[in-house]
Amino acid sequence: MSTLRYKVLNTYKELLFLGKSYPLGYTYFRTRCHAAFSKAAGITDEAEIEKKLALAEYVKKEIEMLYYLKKYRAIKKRYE
Amino acid sequence: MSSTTLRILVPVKRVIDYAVKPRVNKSQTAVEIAGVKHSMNPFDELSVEESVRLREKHTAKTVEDILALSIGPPKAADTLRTAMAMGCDRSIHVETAEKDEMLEPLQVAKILKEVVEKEGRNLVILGKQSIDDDSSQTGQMLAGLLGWGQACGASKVTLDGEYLEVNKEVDGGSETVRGKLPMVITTDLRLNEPRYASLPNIMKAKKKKLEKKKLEDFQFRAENRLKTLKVTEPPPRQGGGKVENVDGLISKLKELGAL
Repeated sequence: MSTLRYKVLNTYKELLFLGKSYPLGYTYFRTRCHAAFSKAAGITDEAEIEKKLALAEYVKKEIEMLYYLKKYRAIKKRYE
Repeated sequence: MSSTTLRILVPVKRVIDYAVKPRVNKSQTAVEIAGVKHSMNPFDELSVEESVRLREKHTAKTVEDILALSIGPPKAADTLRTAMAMGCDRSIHVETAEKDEMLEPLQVAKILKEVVEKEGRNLVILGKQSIDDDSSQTGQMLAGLLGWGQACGASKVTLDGEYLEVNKEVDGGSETVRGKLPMVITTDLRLNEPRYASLPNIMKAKKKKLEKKKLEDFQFRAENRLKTLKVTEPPPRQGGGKVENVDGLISKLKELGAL
């Protein structure tokens, strides 16, 4: 149980770190991310928690992709 | 497969973040950099990614060592941490003072040459240009100073023994060149998709070695050959006008001499 707790906390930290350069601002991202986590705070079933963690992992990938595309398009527009 | 080992040098530059709109300072001598978000030059991210991919694609033995280097103010160390978080093994930070003028490409190339010789590098992967001064000269000058082959604007890099095959982006098409190591490569936008330096990787990168050097540690003397006289913003865009009907459009076109 405690390892899962550790995992969730780490995931939250990593998401917040990613959110620092979110296009709509850190506050926008933080409030929403926090809401999503606190909504799922009551979950006790371990399989459910794992599912949520997988979702968080997916969201992380999406955000990274969003940043990459945003940068790629901006640079492409500027240099071509 | 021969037993060529690559010792890669990846020079990175800390520039104003691509998403920030640069402002010219009051005295019109430079762009305002105080309190502006900085990050790694996007083209340098591509070169870091490419060297890490070369290692991942081949055995760990093929790529012996990836060294990142940055010349800049104390905060350039953050950029080097990012490079190490992305997968570089160690880095050298040539520290300059915050108020110092930015070095010109030729001087950067001279420093790089000294590092290449001292650290026994046989491949240098640079970004094709930095998004702040857009000189696009350092890679070419370095290749010239070292007397090495160069492949600029790479969109694909393949290692074949001690040869490198590079697809280059040229006007209206692509060009494939093949050269023997040692070599200088500069990256173009479509080379790869740089990974994001995640928080755990940045933490791990803090344990990697970051060597600090000063400009005085190098043989050459820093002296800028160009002086920036004036920096101005581009003129604001003129808004378009609306026409009422077709006749209005035709008369407008005639007025402009288009008909």
